[in-house]
Amino acid sequence: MWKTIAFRLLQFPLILAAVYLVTFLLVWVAPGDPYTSERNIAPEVLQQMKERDHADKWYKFLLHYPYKLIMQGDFGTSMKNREFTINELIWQGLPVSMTIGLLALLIAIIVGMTIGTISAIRRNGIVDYAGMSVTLIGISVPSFVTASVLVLVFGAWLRMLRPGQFNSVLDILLPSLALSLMPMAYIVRLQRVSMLDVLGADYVRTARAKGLSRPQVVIRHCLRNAFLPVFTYLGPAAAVALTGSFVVERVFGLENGLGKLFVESVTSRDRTLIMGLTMLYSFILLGLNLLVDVGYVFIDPRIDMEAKKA
Amino acid sequence: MRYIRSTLTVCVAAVACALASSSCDRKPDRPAGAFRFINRGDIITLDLNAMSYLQDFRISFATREGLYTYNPENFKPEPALAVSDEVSADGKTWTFKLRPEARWDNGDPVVAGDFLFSWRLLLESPGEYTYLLHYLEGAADYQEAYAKSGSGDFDTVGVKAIDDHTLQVKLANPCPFFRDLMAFPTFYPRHAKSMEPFKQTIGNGRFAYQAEYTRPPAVVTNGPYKLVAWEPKRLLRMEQNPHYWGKADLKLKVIEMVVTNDAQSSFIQYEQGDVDWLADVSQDIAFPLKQQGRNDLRVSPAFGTAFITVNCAESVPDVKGGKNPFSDPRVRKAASIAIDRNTLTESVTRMGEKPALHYMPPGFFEGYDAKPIAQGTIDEARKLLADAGYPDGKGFPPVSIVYNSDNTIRRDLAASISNQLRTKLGITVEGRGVDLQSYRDSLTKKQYTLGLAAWFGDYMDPSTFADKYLANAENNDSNWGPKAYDDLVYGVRPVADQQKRYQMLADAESLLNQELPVVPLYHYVNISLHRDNVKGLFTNAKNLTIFKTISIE
Repeated sequence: MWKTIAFRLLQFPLILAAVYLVTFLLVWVAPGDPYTSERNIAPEVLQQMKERDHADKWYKFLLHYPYKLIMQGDFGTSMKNREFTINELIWQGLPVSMTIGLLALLIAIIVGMTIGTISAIRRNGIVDYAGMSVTLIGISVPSFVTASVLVLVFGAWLRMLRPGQFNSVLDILLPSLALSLMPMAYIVRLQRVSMLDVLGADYVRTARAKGLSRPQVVIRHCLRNAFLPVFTYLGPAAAVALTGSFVVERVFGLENGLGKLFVESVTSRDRTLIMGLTMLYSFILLGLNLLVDVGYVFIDPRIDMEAKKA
Repeated sequence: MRYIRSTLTVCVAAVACALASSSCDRKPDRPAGAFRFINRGDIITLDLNAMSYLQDFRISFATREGLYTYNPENFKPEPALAVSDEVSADGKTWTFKLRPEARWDNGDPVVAGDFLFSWRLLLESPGEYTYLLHYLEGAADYQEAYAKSGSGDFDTVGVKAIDDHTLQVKLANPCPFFRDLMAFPTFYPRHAKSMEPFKQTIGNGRFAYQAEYTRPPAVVTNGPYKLVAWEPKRLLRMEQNPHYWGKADLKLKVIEMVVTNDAQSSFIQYEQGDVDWLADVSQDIAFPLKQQGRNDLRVSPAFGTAFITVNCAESVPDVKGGKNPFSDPRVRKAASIAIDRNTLTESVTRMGEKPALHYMPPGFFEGYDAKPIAQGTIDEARKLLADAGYPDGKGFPPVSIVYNSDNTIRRDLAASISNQLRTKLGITVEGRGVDLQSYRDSLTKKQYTLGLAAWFGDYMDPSTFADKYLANAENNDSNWGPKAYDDLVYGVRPVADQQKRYQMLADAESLLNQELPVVPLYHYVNISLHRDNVKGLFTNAKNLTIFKTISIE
């Protein structure tokens, strides 16, 4: 297994380089540039600005910034907010986005698995029907609606939440909750289906026949096996929680969040910031996928990462 | 199972730590006596060279000061760093006596050399507003020479420090509104010594300063308030400048700018009393408040116009291989007559905007009287269209009207205009919403037929509107520029007599209103919210803010 992990880690730089090049290409051909603003600029002034940012020719950009990144771990300065380096912008947004992202994932897993399991055990019961209806809402209602409703209820009516703050438990919990609904809905459904599968398996019947109580069977034997599909989903879910936070961050006034930064960098064509954030996200996603793959081995000993061809 | 359990434990612990660390990080929400506000958006830059957005200028009015400032009530320029000025008979040489007690926030005196340093930087690392400096003799030439090779002699530029407290400026042409210009942040002085660590060479023997010089604690400014904290995308904090010459009159201890872009979140923060002032309120929040008759909603006419910019070129991307119908002035006139502006202001914008019959909002300059755009009946419009070769819209190629889709008002305007032109004239003008940068790109590169656009005056003189449509002006997106217009607008430059200038500029605008490279729609209003416990905060046409008179009860 260690060999596989090492091999995967060696692949990282190659994948990241490919992502960098593709993103660069897209950013470069997109209409508009970070210098376009409310007033038009004299062409010679524009030229000077581009030279300053190493952005007057594509190859200058491609020579300057990746070199800086590799040698100094520095993404350069934002082209729009030139007072701040991209590293600074990332470091001050990362705690916000990571906190709500992780918490959202945690809420999704705990609540989702609980409801999913209960729905499967008490199939066609009240929890099952209620759970399935709620997850349908979770999947179909976009997060800007849930987020707006939460801000309206807790902010405007109950006056417990203060948008733009990130201090109290509620400030952190509510955006996480809004962000967790989508992955939670998926997890409930996945967990329900795979639990139903497992509950029908022979070894479950055997365990019951041996005289184990129903909760014992579910917790000892079923949960772990039923967890695999959910576990597979965690990689993409983490991606959604991290990158999909734009709307939630905006509605809750968490202006420095990464998701928001990402979307704004694209709308303002802030090339260096787009490149920096894409690299960061790619790195996080590669890491998460590796973690999920390694995690399989621990959850299901039958999976062998080294297995070539059976 | 135990792996799942331990994984979960690690996750819970990680989140708990994150929660704990962020709650340890808890800041006092509202410093005592602080005035908090939400700006138009987050700060783009505080570097005077590059600055061009209203929210950035707003901060500069608090932290910096020029020769003049604006009177907060009538927004006429009044002396700030200058105590007196003297104008030569030809109106070209201005001599300013500087306030001897003026200090930077580190205690250094503000001297004439600080202006030379700042203006020189502006020419050497130019930005959007550098052109304003071209009123100075030799400024444009120096900028060009420096851009090429880092050469050029700054002594040829018309600005001189006679002594530490006397600044002499030589203009290329008389400029009756020069005091007003001097109140604009582009012309503010800068503190050379504190910027030294940020100096860097950029090749060709040229120098530039990294924009980071604007960040606290390095930045040194001379305004009533000084910047003490700047968390990008979150917060900006200013405190009194202990060395400010007018410190005795300052009433606020702390000013905080809170960043929130979401309209609902901003409004909730205001309603909860977390912020005292929403500097710009979007229409979807403002309109219900207007209906409720809320008296903390402040609406005032703005020095700006919403219009359709028309590409007057013969060929446009919309009409492949054919002629752009809007290159014919009769078609522009027909469309202008057919659009009912009251429908737009009453059912789309709804905040009391005035339907526009002029390119420049009228009523700001005494003695300036431009002829309005042509008005008439639908039959007259149809006749114009028929004369142009499109009877009842027959043979009229479908074209598009481009706008930035993040602006919902523009989306609705486009729909209404499209609908009006189709039903009244039988021509097809489709709304085409694109993202902001693409929208700006198609206008700048003149790759459009019609576009929803706007113009706001930078300084209080009609030339801030008139210059936009000079044939070779950067901001002229219309491919329109008859010699007669250029002659009038350029012809104004050597004229010192204010009334004569106004007359010539009004004639230029009359020509524009007649030929319609822009079809004016309505004149904007500024919308803001502040409660009555905030005193000394005034609304004005340019939406500028003078912080030194603000107090809070």
